[in-house]
Amino acid sequence: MANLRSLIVPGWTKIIPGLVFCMVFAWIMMNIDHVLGKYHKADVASAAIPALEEKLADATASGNAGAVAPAEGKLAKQQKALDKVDGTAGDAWPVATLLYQKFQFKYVAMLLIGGILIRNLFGIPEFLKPGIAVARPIIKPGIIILGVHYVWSDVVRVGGTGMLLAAVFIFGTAIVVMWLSRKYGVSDGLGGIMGAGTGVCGVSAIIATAPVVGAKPRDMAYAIGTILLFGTAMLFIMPYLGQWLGISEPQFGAWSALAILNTAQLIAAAEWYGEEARNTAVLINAARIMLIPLIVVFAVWFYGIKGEGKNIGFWATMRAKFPIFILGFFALIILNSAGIAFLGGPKTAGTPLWAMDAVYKWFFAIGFAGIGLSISIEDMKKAGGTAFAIGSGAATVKMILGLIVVLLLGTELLRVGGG
Amino acid sequence: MSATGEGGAMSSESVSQDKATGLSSAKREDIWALIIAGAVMLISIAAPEAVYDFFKKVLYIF
Repeated sequence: MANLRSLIVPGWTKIIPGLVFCMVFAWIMMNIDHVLGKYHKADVASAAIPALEEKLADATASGNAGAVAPAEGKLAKQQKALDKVDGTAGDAWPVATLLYQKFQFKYVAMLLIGGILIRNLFGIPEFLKPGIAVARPIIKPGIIILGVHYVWSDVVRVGGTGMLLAAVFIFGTAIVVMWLSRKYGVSDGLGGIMGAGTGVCGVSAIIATAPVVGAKPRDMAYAIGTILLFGTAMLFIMPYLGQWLGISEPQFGAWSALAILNTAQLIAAAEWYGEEARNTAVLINAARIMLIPLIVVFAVWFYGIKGEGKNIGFWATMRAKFPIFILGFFALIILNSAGIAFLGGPKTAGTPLWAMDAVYKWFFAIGFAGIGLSISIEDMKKAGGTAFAIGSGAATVKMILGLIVVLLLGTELLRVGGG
Repeated sequence: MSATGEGGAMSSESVSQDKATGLSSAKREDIWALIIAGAVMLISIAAPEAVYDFFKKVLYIF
């Protein structure tokens, strides 16, 4: 009963206005995204239809029955896209294509950029702030539901590769940051959380490690400021950098999972880049966040911390810090892989897993609204000093090394096939 | 869910508050995420077409 009670956030009524605000903001941006996407598809279809009609006419005239059916199928698909906007072949909507394709102005970008502008230009009233903070982790149910996109072969291949990469990069970064922090006289508390934060999942890892290494509130503000500043910069830079470098979506997913420290920011960047990028990023992130308890255990060992009344043994730390929501994600992968007839699959219309597949994006949108509205320039100014230089330097090196590794690995090993 | 968690700044006050309730903010978020996903699954089993239509059509008004 006490456990059930502790599920309820004290003062939960205060979160309602901010949460509703995020939901409405997400809903508006999702609708704008939908309209832009619809007109972009119609624009592409309008340009493609004459060539397809010509191809179909040629196939019909030459009696090539094998080419007629595919051409008819493609034509019907393009015609459907055009019908959705009541357009005819020859119509053009270049602005929609420019915004949606060229500038990648999709719901992720609209929510993040819009949120940052609202927060920093107009400010957020105090009564909305608790709910906005709660909106961010609403990404988590979205991640669980996204489990319907995967089958076990993906987990073994991509997740296995991701786990290996994540382990090397996480512990490599944490060791270097903690060692450099100690060398340059940064306190154990700040060095410990900065090492954990830049190595693994940013803010989560900082929160998990702070009590163990005895970090002060000011240390936490510095470390979180550094993580936020780096994560926010990468969130906006990496999708464009990826496009400029011409890397594939699965490669981008893996790269961002190694370089962007925070789960929500990572998913935002990967979703922005494309669905395949997001699928790879989420799976590698699932592998990565399972390493959070290990990084806490590592910090205990590195700083030679003694218990002093707290239970900081291996299993106690694992139990306390393990992100249990990820078990739901893997449970859905098991259900999707098991081929249970009544559950169907994400591509089998009319089945439960197909219905669930329609939901996750809305959870992401509310979470992205929460992220955008939470990014405060003032918070970022808290980053500074030697620890900031070490933390952001290590994170940048990790990003560059991560890029080299995913380029060497290629696309296929990192592609999620799905079920 | 709590006011802390991934993706944003948090305060030391919220950490101590979690100690008082006996459940860390991250654990609370995780449990709520599992409950919400479980609820979505149950509703999807009960009425898949309705869930699909609501999230893919009804919510898009334009």
